[in-house]
Amino acid sequence: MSLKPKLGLIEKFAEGIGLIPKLNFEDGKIEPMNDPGDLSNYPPPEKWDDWVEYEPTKWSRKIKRHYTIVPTSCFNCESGCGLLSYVDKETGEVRKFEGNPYHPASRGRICAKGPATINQIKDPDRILHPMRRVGKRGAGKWERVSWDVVLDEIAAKIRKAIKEERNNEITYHVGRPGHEGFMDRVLQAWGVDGHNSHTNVCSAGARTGFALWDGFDRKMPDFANAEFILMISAHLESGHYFNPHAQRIIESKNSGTKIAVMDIRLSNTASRADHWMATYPGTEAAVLLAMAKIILDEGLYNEAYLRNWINWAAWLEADHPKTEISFENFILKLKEEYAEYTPEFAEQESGVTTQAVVDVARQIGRAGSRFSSINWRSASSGNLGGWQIARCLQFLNVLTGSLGTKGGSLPSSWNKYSPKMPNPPPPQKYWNELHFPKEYPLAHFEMSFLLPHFLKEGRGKIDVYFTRVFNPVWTFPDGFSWIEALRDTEKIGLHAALTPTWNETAYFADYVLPMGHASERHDIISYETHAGKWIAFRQPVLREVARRNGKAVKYTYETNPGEVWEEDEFWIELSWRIDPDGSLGIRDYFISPYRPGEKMTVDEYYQYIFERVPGLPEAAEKEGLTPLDYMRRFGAFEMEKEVLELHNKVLTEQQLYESLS
Amino acid sequence: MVDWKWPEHRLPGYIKSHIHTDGIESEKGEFPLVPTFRLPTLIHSRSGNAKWLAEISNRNPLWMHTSDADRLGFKNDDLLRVNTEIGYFIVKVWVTESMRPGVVACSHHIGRWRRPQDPVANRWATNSVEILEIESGKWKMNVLDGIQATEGEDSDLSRIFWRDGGVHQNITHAVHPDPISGMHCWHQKVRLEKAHPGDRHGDLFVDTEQSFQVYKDWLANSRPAPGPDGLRRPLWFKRPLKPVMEKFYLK
Ligand code: SF4
Repeated sequence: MSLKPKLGLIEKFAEGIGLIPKLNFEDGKIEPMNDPGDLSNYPPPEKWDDWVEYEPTKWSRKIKRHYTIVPTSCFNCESGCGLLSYVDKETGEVRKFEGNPYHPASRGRICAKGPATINQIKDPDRILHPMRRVGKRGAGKWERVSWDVVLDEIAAKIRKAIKEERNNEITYHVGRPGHEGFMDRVLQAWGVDGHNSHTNVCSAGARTGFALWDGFDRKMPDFANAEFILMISAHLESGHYFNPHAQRIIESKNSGTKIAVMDIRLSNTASRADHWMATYPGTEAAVLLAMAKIILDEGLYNEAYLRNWINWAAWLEADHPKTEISFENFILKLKEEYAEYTPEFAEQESGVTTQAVVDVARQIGRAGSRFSSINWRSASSGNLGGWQIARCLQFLNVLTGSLGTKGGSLPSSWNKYSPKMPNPPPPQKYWNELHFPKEYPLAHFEMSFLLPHFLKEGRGKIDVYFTRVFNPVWTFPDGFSWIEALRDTEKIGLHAALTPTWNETAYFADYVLPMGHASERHDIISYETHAGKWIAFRQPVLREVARRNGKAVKYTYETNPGEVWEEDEFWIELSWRIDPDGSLGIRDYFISPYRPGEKMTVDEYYQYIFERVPGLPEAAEKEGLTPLDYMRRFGAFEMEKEVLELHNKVLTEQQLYESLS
Repeated sequence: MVDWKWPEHRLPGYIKSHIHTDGIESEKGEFPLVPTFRLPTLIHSRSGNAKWLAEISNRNPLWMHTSDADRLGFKNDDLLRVNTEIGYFIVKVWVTESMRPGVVACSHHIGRWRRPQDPVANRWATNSVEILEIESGKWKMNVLDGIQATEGEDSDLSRIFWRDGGVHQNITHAVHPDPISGMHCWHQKVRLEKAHPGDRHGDLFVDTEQSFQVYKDWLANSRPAPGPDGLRRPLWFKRPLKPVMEKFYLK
């Protein structure tokens, strides 16, 4: 490939009359900067401290820019892909975000929303100072206020509620979660049952269906090793963890894996499928059960797996007490149970042809333990009884024996790391019925979207309500009921919106508190994106640059724009102020694990966690780094490449005991 | 499931959805609306501050199959009134072959708004709207202006070429709590008609008294705790922020 681009006519002309500087392509005088020869997509880490590129906005002038490259993690969807931030060494400005090739899930590839992080941090309308409402709530009048005032006022209100045992009146309602476990720690330190979420407008259906099988409320399909993949949704372009998953699905497809997709739209995903099944919404379970029937009738099931892992004897005993208990009778009765789900019935309900149902069912049966499936939101979140869709989908994995296997679907917690935190607080002594009301004992999880109706019915009130990256007025159904609840100060005493940017819910807050974007705060991330197990770091990029330059930084807001804080430091500081003399026992959980009696810093918090990640201290030592410095430098660490077949591992006495207790 | 009063669902089974064809009168313009699909280029409600993303995706028309459009006499870009259980929204139709006949769909993310009194923000993606409470619980949102090119510290503000701003559909949806999973069942049964005189793209109306009634109707289908031993919830189910054990039991 030639490294000398040819000049166009216009460029030649412009060069000739001196309109633009001499481009010098033709005689090869433009200096190749980064070792031409092997094309490389990513700067190698040994050059991250001083990476040189031409200034892209004035490229023809050949101005060299020196960058320091700092890894962090994207926050624009749940995948948490690895980003590399390019910080101009001269101006200290973040110039762009690209993928981090050392991130085990995203492997350097990111979607359009990753690089757009630069838009968000440079957004001309972003909130730079804490704001307090003036006049009536929702009236649109605001004044600037200091962080000190904010922290003292909120802390005093929370302190009062806790002292009066109104712990259930404190709620933290989160949209896009993040800082894995940190918030649970804060809420339990306060002794409140105050976690509310977005789960029940998102994945409650799928979670319930999966959990009913084995207690694992989500599954991690090992797409990379699958022989047949069934996706209920436009998973390639917009599913949960779609970017890390899509890479692996397409790799699989390129090596011959067949794909079936149920989707009402000819989405990007459906267009890449071998079988597009445009099921009428909500009829997916009928189709899946017809497939189960075919697998049963044609003997394509995995007998050894079923014998071992299904409580078939218990079912026969309960539902068919007169039948002799044997595996053969189990199969017989199961066939009877599903006899009505013929492919013709599936066609009548869903519109998918009988032939397609049979065809896909057989391929699933033949793929056996290498059958991967996914349904996360989509059909399970659209329909009454949608949880049965996920349950029926997993039925196919059970019949084919493809749970926990290479190329099958794995329980998500196998591939997700739970960090060990310093001094965990005990469970709270409260049950908040605004979140977990009696009517929904099986819900996964908080009945978040009914909150305005619960308040309207007088089931309770909220004294302090935090919304964080959460915009129910806009995202949730029935937003006007949210507006009615939020504008009523009798129902919601104080509303603090933690958000980097204005939104429809923040308009109805008392305090709007600007928090950092992806590259302006700390966090840890570990998700079930593939058969491995990894942990990644989200770090405030300019704080890390300051550290590399030898500048002492105590708080992240020192390097953030305006007076933008990060959540971790906000919660530590707020907790400290709720318990000024330590009498509530809250301070105990925010004491440094390294400096007895002193307030914990975020550096210490992450240092503590990273020192306990299996394999990380050793990997760091090889680089001559501490575990924390390793994560600051590389941004991610893979602790295991493949976690498979754990169900077939024989436990020691000790492990068995621990799993029971 | 037997322990928790749902013996009929003890095995994997098929439950007819609330938008099953049994309850849809298509000759009256009724459809199931799938309002959930995501665009790969937008974040749920957090991309209004990302100019590159707003430039790529800035419309959320109603997807409809050609055969349905022909049957009902709708053309591309016709303005429709989409009637939900609790109100309506006004949207443009996009007639396409890439859609299952008999179903309509509308992506979320788009239809962000700000009122004249609100701080200027998310100018890449927000309509200016007025919100009127016509009488108690009856809410009308009117679009005053779509997205506008404007002056500002980012010179790209003056280069905004898109005007649409879309429609905020979720606000016209009633809550549908599934009695078992607690999931909000997103799909909506809607009735389509041509927009009325005076309807503008993005306008909408909601009656919250009606939405409260729909909430009550769905709530009535639940089968409350206690389960066995007075439990609020199966002990083996996950629960964020698990409280102390004794709180799992109803006294
Ligand atoms: S897929 Fe990755 S890059 Fe794209 S928004 Fe999600 S986390 Fe960011």
